[in-house]
Amino acid sequence: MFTFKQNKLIVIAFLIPALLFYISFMLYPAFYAIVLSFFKWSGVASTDTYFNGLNNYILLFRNPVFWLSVKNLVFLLVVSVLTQLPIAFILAYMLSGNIRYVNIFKVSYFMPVILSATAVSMMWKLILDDKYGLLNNFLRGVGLESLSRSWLTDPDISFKVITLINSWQHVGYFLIILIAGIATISEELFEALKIDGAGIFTTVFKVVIPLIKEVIGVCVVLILTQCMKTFDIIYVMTSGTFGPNNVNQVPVGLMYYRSFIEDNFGQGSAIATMVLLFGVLLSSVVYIKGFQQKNTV
Amino acid sequence: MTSDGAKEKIVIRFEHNWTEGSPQLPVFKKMLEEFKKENSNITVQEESAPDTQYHQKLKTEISSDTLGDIIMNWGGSEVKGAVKNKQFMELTDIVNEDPSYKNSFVPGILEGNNVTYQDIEGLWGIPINITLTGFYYNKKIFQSAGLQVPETWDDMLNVINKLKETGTIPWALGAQDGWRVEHVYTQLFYKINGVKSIYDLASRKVKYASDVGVEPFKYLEKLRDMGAFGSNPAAVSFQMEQSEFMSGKAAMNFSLATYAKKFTAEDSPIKDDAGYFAFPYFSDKAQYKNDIFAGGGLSFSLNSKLTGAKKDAAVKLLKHITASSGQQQFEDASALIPTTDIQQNTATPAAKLVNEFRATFKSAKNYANDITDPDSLSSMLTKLRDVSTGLMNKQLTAKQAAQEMDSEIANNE
Repeated sequence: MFTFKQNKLIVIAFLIPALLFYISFMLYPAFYAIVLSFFKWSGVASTDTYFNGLNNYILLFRNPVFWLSVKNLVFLLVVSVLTQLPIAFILAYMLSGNIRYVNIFKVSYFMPVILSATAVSMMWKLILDDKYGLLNNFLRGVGLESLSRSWLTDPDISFKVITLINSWQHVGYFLIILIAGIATISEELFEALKIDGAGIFTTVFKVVIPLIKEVIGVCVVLILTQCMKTFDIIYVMTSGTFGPNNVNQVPVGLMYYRSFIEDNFGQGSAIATMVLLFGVLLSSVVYIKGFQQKNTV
Repeated sequence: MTSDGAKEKIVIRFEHNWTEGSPQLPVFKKMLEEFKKENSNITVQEESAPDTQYHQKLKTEISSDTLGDIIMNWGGSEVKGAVKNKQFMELTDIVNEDPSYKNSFVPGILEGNNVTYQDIEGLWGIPINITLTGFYYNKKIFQSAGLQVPETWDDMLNVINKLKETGTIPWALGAQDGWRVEHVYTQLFYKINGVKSIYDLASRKVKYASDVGVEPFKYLEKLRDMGAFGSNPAAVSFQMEQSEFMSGKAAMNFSLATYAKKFTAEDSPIKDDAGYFAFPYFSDKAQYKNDIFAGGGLSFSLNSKLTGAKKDAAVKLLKHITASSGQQQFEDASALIPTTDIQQNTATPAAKLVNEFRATFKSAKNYANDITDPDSLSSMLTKLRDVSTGLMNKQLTAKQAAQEMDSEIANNE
């Protein structure tokens, strides 16, 4: 039998390429960004970097746009979890039953996932356009003009709309994961529950969810990390402005502006560091406290 | 020269954004052929990318110090890092050594904000295009409404009110794209305060939240509230703005001279109806009547690493592209407004319109590009565009917009 103890060198040899890749393209850039966050640098090679201490962080904390971006991120995180997960679970539970043409449904719900974020954003931008978009023109056409809105420029609703579109695009991904999770539950268990007269509430909340708790936990972590990185959908839907007047700004968008538009890589790295630390902390706490199965003897 | 007397073979890396489909590309290729005939030892290696990618390429090459030998750019803050880091060659001596070349340029264009900097001495590029702005208007709509072209802002407000009565959008403005509103603010600023006030802002002698910065925002607010831009300009993109003007839904469009070709093209619905008038002035600020939003746009710079024969070859090619004869060809092909004083083309409707823009430029007393060009804080242009869209979207009042500009300075300096 192949064991690690007997074949240490072979195991290490196989792991080294992946490890080197991980260190070079993940760990080292992350470490360098943390270091750079304490310096002032324009991003131009061979120009001097100046040690700036905590000034990048202080300037950031003094900037109201930064706090607006954090508020938007928290909103995105909470709403994404509360929309994507329940909807994906309900659909997964329904599609795990005996339904005709179930694969057609699975493909339909998964389709938005495989579309590029740019394509999704452009499509919704055209649908939601204030003057010429499909939605407002439909509402005007059926006499519901009072419901028409500036969906993408009204500061009170634009970020909510973008959040829902982001959720719409990703629900299918978690649907597939949850279908796989529910499939691990034995059919006999469902039959036994039926015979015992367990209703749907009991079946779902007392049996199914506890049994796939770790799968749900993985989904929550994936939603959180996906939200932390969300940039493209907001960038395209706001024509690259994250506006009007930063109303749709998120930390990653601010990082992009600071670094690549305003040539302030120090502050950009400070934002990146905070996003990294917040993401790791949040994911770890949520998963460990909320979803990890405790091993009992 | 090589030891056997033959000229040394030289390769010049020429970077530009004139890709397939650009009207300037055939002109450029022709100019390179002409150059090659007279300089058979010099090979020009073109490196081109479409516009957005070209800006990214430029940024990356500045960051990695791998710029080409001749570099197309738009000056200003985008390449200030390269200038500060001495990656661009200082060109004053090269220009001064050739008086006929130097004198071919329109007065003041070689001192413009896109090729010089307030805090760095020297000339860092040769501009081949003047950015000119002004009003396009639909002559047919004006005629049916019985309107004359406005000269002052009192006239303009009257025109706007009359156009509203006809159900036409008086002024197409894509306020969703910040730069559109920022251009209007900039021109209002110059007519209210004069161009030279931008240096008071940049030197922090004057705050944005003073009358200097607030008054143009207030006027923008007034135009917004009177419906000059239609019902919800913040929801209109730049593409929609042009579409509204070209389809006759809007009567006026404040834009760049480079769009003259688009508005007068064969397939343009308003090809016979597009006219021009200069941005109106304020009667009580007549001293700023000829202060305008204009300046050098597209330029070419040289890499500071060039030496010896290669430097001489690059200078020769740069002069060939940017001299009057070259610029005439670019203008004929693509409505780029030359920076040299050349024979005016009157052959096409676009050229006739552009000549009207040019006449305004010729009568200008002072001109400059964006207000924030001389500002050392690189985030100011983005901030100005953000607060301008915020104002148009009624998120900010004029005073708040100006205060946010000052906050940006306070938070970053």
